[in-house]
Amino acid sequence: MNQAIYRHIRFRGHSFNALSLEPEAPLAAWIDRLDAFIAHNAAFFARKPIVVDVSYLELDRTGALELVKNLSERGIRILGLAGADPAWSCDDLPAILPRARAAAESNQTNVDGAGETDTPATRLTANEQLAFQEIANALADDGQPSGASNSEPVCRPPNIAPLIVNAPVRSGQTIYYPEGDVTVVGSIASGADVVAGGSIHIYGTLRGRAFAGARGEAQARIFCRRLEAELLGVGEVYLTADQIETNARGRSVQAWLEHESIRIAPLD
Amino acid sequence: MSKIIVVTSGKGGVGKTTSTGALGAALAQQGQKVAVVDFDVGLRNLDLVMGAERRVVYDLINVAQGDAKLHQALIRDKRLPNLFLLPASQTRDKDALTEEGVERVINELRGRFDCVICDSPAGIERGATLAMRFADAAVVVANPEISSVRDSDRIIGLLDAKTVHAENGEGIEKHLLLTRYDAGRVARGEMLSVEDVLEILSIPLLGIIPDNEEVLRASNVGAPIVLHNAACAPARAYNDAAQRLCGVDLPMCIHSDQKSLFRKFFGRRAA
Repeated sequence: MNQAIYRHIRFRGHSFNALSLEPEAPLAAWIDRLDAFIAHNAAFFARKPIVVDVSYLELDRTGALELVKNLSERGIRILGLAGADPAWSCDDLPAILPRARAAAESNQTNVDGAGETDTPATRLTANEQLAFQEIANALADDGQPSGASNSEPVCRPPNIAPLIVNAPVRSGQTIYYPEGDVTVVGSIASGADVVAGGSIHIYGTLRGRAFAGARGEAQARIFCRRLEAELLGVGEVYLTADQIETNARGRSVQAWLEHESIRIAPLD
Repeated sequence: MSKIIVVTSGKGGVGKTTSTGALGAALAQQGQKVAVVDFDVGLRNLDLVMGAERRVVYDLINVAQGDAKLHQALIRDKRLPNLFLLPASQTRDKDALTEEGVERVINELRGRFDCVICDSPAGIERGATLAMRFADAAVVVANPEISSVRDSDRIIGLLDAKTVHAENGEGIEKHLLLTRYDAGRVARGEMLSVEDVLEILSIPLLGIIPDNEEVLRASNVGAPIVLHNAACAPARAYNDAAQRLCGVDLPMCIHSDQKSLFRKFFGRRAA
């Protein structure tokens, strides 16, 4: 089967790790501390993807332009701005990044104790607090020479533990796990998506869409008890329901990538 | 202890309002003190199905906003003294409902009734999420056809994510009520079978309501089907479902009318 005719321009939403730099007020003092930090760790920010989180500052667009200029002069290349007003968006500022699910995290800690619906920016998840604390520590102990070891806690190692889902995935739900394998003990409903960095194992019927190897991992596979899928994706190749061979439907199968096209074979 | 039950489906026109009225009346007949609450603000129907449309003065929004007392808005059923209706407003829209207001009304209802049945609007927006928000149990209504089943699946996902019970990690009790079931069309492959629907939705079955013209007749005269014609197949199916909702273990069956069975029998002989 010739897959080439189904190829399009490739673009997808992805999550990548970036270093989040979080300036604090008063800004002049923070920049002084930053300069002292850079003096001891000259290459720390070099060629690193950096997101500047301005949630802890009271800034306007002019202030943001000024801050970006100050950071650029210090060789810090800014990938995007977090916690900024989307209305500031202009050609002279880096892209304004929407906050990813900060408010939806279940293990969130309410920092200021306010019971009202405050903005996500004032609430920190445990992970964010940890990262914030690490950067604050890194900036505070500028007396000590620090090399690569100092940057290690910030760049967390990838979590390769598999994700086990013990319930059916309902229509409209998305399981997104770019870190590794996903195992679902139950069915994937029509209108549900499972996106995994590794392989996907489904002990039930796959009626929705499954994307294995979502970060381009060509070795990833999809296994399911019964194939009724709307779409199968492995790596950067995908098949829609119409393109899936009819004799594979309703069967227990595995799907994998071979010569840039998806192959489906029955398991029994 | 009182129980808040939401009747929901995602898709419109599958029989939420009919089922709310029928289950409410069936539970009231079993001796429980029941309130049925119409959450379909702007498109209220439950008052018509209950035959109370001429007696609506205050509604859910008035009570939620504190403009009226709960007892002023509750309408007592003329046939069953322990069955009450809290109607929706026809002139407002769903944005008039706030979570705080709904919580206050539900808590007040909890103190007064054994069972509160909330009739959810169709869709997955504010009205539907507020109707399910404080529920202890959900009756998911579905027809045996693929679009209804997929929408119900979506609603089950929301029940597991957006209700107070789910957010507290307790999970919410869910039941499937399969309505408009036509055994003949299932046999001909024109409708999904009970097994197909259960395989897709994987929640326990509360009852199978056969497709029957008596249901439409009952709603036209403004009476819940179990009060309109207690002997007909859908009324018996709703009565069974109401008992199962109270924890009675009844064997599952597809009710059918003796008369139509007879007709089928003779029809076959003649053919």
